[in-house]
Amino acid sequence: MSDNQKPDTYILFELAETNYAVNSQDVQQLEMVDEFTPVPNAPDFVEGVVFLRGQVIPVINLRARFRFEKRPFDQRTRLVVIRDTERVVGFIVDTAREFVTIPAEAIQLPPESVAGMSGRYLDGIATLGNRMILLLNVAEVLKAAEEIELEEIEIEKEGVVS
Amino acid sequence: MTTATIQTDSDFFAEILEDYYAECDEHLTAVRENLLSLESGIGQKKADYALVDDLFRRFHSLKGMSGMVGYEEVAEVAHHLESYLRLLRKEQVTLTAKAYDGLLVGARALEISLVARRQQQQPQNNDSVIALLETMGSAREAASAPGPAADPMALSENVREQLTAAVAAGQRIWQFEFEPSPELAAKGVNVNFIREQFASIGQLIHGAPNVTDTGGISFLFLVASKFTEGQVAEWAGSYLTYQPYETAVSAPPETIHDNGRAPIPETAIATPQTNYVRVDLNRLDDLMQMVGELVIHRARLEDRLDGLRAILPKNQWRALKEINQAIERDLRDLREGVMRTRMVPIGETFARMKFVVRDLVRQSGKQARLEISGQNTEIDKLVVEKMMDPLLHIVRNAISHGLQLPETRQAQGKPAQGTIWLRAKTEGDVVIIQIEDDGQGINADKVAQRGREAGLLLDNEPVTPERILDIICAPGLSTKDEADMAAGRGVGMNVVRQTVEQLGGVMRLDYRPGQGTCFTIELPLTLAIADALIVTVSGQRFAIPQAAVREVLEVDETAVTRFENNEILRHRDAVVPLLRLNRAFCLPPANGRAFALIIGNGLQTAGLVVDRILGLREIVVRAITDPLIRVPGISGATELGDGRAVLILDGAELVVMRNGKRET
Amino acid sequence: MKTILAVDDSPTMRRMVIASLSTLPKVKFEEAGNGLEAIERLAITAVHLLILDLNMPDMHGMELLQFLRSHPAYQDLPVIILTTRGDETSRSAALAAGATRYMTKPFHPPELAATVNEVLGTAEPSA
Repeated sequence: MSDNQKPDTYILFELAETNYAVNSQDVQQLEMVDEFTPVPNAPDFVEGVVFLRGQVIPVINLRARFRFEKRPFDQRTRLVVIRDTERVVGFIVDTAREFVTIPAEAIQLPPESVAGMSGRYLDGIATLGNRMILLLNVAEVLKAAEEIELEEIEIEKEGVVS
Repeated sequence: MTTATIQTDSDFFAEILEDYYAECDEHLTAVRENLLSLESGIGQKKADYALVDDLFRRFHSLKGMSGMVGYEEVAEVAHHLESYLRLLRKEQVTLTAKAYDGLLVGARALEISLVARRQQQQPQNNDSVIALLETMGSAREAASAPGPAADPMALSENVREQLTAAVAAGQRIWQFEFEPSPELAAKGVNVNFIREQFASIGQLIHGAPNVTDTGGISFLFLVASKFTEGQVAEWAGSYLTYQPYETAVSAPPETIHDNGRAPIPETAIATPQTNYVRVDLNRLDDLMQMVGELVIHRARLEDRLDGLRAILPKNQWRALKEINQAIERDLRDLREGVMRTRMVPIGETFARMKFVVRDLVRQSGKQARLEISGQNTEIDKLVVEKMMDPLLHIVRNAISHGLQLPETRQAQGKPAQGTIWLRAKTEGDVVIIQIEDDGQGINADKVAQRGREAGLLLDNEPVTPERILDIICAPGLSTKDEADMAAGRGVGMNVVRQTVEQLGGVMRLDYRPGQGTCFTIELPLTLAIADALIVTVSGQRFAIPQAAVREVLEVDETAVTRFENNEILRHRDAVVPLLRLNRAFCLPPANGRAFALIIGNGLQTAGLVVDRILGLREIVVRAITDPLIRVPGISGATELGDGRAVLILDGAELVVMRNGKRET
Repeated sequence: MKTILAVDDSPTMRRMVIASLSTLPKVKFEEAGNGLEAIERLAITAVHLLILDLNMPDMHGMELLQFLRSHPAYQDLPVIILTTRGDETSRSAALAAGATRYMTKPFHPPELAATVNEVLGTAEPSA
């Protein structure tokens, strides 16, 4: 167990040929990708909303969020439903099939070179066999997502005024 | 002669079919309840008259209506049930256990036949049911017309018995007279209304028409009541005249009680004045709608107040602001209060499960008893209605797949008879319903295996009850064999979960191999329910609370005036600025007709332009809380039964949005 | 304009009766769900024909019929009995008590319409 009391089990998912992991405690459920209801004037990386366990939750296209090229959903596409304190948010990822244990010793802090904007999203980098896995910091991804939204709104407003 | 364009009578009544099914449902619900109550009358010389009479009438109505729509297989079963009830009512037969089972089988056959008809399947063949009912003597129908006496107050044996019983219980009998008139009827004071009112002072025992001295019509009623003369006088008001009704039965000799029961003391009798009123659900909905309107007006008030901040002296503005906040709180309480009046006890739903258990036990060769607790727990009427089928499904599963056969149970050291517990309770603002059985539990390995095959469980992922629930509630998990059925509890659980979640609830699962299974359902005590128009904008559905919409009109594009970025519609000597939702929401424009939903008042009026109006629906409102999807003009989301989220438009905010745009 | 009062405890059955007669010219309909309500309707509106079910709670159709026939104002009011009881005893008892016509359910809509036409003496069924 790490010092923040989270278990050392993770859900692995793939996004643009890269392996990512989220702590299993942060994942509420995995879903097949179904239809979403688009929300007008929401940030472009928000695919829409979906009804899940009686809640309306936003669905974030993680490819769009990380500025990768979007691609059509297929049989392997999954919705990873993340619970972060009070919020529940869905991430669309290329696929998710594995549940793994990553011991704390296998995790290194992200190198300085990936610091800055993208470095914030990572809790660390782990090596498992010959695979490199990026450990996602869910709270940061969500926080940053909002900041981006705010920025965009600001830009929009300025645009209207000018 | 007229040319016959109608082929059959049932075509003729096609329009009425929905009413027909609705009334059948109503009768069958009551039949189910009455039959359960009747069970205690097995072997008794004298069955409960009121119960038997009600059953008789319901079968009679079912027979008549079904004959009209040409559903012979329904009409015939109802006919035989009616005939048997007639014998029972006349006390020509005693209710045996076998006959009771026959009644259950008959009632069930009616239900199944009606479902088949409704789903336009092949009509049910009820020959064997009819043959069974015939053995009960239903064919032996005594055909005698009733011979009522000419004297309006000539009392039947049954009425006399009731009067005697009431007097014995320390009540007085009053005779009331009501004279109807068009003026009173226009005020809603009619004979049905009067009849209902008697419930508030006691029990109506008999009612009959009467010819007054002047040749007019009046109605006489005999009512048993605990009221004193003074109370009766006050209660009767100006519509009714009254007098004490004196007959031989009024002063019962003490010997009436020599059956070992002492006369019931005054204090033991519940006062006839109960603390309950019956309210039409539509009236509550109207109230709810008014509350909704108040909420909108208050929001508008707040908007205006905020606009005055710069102009008003600070202390005055703050005082107004505080009042506004107090109104907001009161409105929330008021809303809550109205919602609570919609609550009904869950007992009726549970009672219906008894019936299902009986039925299934009969078919399956298993033994089971139902333990019910918390039947007085109250829950929103809509929730009760929606939860009926899910609960039925879980109970059915518990018997079919949960409980083992008696031999198996005994071999495992369990009692041969299985138990199913149905519990309900309120905790804070949540209602908790539990369905537990002491059967074989769930074969988690088998379910997990299927979950993995379907990609619902990751490799190496630990198997938790939560995941098992996810898997058995996943849509489209097919059941291949009997073992699979037992393991996965069959299809349909996805519908159960969907319903629970639609209502804003959650489900939990516990199981222990060989010991049993327990489903826990938590539902919100009250729901945010609103009537909403469902509309489409560029093919996407949206909902808008009906309370916010003043009028709906088709947009005549020739009546639209455009200048700069504004569009204005001429309508009834006024002009309405239009807000095209496809533009506001950056959706592609749709061709064809367009409709304007007129919202707001005065200067705040606007017409929201949509493509189509799909209809009016009762929706359960869900808040949108996540900042990522909190966008202007959208107040929440709902679901219309297909699992897809439908966004709810915020009329007031859209008007503000429109005006904001105009100002820039 | 003639007013027809449909008396039946089943709302669906009342709708069926009204639907069957909706093609008749110059008629309007009133409904009552029980015997007392029917008598009230008679007392406060002008009714030209009663279509009456027999088996109803509280007040049997026969009681209603007998009451009407004992009252001078309703002695001649046409009453069509519409009942599921097809036996001869019931039929003759009803006719003896003063029913104008006796029909059994299920009925054929055109037949009911024809009977009503005949009883009311309104226009020929064909126009």
